[in-house]
Amino acid sequence: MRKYLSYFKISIGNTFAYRGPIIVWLVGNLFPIVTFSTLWLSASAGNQIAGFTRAELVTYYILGLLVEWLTNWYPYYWIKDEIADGSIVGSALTKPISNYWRIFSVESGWHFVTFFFGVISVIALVLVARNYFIFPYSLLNIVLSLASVILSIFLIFSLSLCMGYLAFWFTKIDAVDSLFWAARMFLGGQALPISFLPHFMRVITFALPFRYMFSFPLEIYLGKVPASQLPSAFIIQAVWIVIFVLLARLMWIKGNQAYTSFGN
Amino acid sequence: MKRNLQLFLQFVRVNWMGEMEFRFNLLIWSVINVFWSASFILMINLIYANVNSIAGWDKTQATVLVIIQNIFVGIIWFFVIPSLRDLSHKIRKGELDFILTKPVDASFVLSVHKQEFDSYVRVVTLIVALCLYLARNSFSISPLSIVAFAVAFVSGLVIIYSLFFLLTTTNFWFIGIFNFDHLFMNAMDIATFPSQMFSGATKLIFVYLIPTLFIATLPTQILLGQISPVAALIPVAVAVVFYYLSQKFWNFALRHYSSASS
Repeated sequence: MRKYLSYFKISIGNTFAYRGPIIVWLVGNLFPIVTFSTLWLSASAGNQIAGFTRAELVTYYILGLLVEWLTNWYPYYWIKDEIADGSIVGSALTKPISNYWRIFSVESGWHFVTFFFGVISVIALVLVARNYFIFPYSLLNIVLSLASVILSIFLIFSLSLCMGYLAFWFTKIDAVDSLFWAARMFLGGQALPISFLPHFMRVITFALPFRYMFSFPLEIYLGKVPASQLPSAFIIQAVWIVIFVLLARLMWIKGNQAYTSFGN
Repeated sequence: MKRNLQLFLQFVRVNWMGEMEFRFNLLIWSVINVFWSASFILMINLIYANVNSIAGWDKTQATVLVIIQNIFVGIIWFFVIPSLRDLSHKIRKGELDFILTKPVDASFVLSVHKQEFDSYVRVVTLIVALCLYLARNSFSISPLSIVAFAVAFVSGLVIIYSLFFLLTTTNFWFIGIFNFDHLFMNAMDIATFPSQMFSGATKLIFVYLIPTLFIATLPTQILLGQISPVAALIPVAVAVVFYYLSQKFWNFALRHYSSASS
């Protein structure tokens, strides 16, 4: 445990070196939220848009920003670089540690800091849009919503780890990254809530992992998931985590056997 | 001018040779980019299945808008963003020397020298899609509006390029910031929807301060004949000012450049 704690501490220190880029992310992430909120408030339509009131839609996008800041545990970029340039040999292969928890600790440090940036930007948005923002209906909504956020973290983290491990076998894997974001954007509810999709696609998204990376906690918060469907949805989310954790383990073992690095 | 054009063509040749080293990669990326654009067009359709109009724009008009916005983004991705990413990297690492010491217009070379051809495929596909869509929905478009549209669209490219170039140049002072491209991409996505939907403070910031009006809304309005072709002169004037300012700023910023090793 102490080993991982020191990764966590070092990572916090490193994160502060990135305060410039974090501010750029902070500002850039506000653009789509403001754009979509404006879109819904200015669109001419009935009271309900795809089963959402305007206030619910604005709340969906504002809290979506928070979900994004909280759950984007995405070590893909630096893991693939570590494997490609051979530095993984020194940082993990020759050390008596679990690579999964090493990467998890480093990411924890980063998110420990960026959490505050995300919260500040969301509070600012809530203040600006206070006439539309919907405060939670019940404590249970918040608790369940937070539980699914925490599960989303493990889900995104494990999947992106698998994606990074592809670098053991392939030299150019950036396409996977783009596909991931596209899937989360259109099948995970980041661009539009899932209820905008045609019926058959909506059914598919319930089975795929992407809904459980973004839209699910928001749907719970807004009370859009019927209580009868909650258990099965949480089970699907958990099953996907298990699948990707096991896959990451398998890929790590097989990848180590297949790995060739030079100059180390 | 002629010399710069020759240089540009040489860069195209070199970059194309580079892409041909990884043909399969180029193919996959071309497909993914076309897929991304198709998703945006699909998104407009999903939105309009639930709303009647957005700031007075109906579905067909909004579809033309999103196609034009995607063509715009595709062109920026073709060479502006790859080149500026590299410029940012070179400034931060102090690797500008090799270009500054050459007898060429450094700001030009640094703005065009890297290209990604998968975006090129997307742009060509979208231009064909735009022509088909306009023909199928029987818009009446005069030759004059096409010319005015082209002028406005190219001016829009110059405006946005100048702005991005100017921001990248601030890397001379903000050495740690490597992700300006995140800002660029999200700023251009604001133009997916009609500028008229913004009002008050958001209009000031998201339409004029970040001049997204010139990316798609204004050119589309000119093309569809909603406003007079003469309006194309506005982006031309803005482009001249922005380009001039970005070049001035570049020359000013260069004085703060302190290489890495040489």
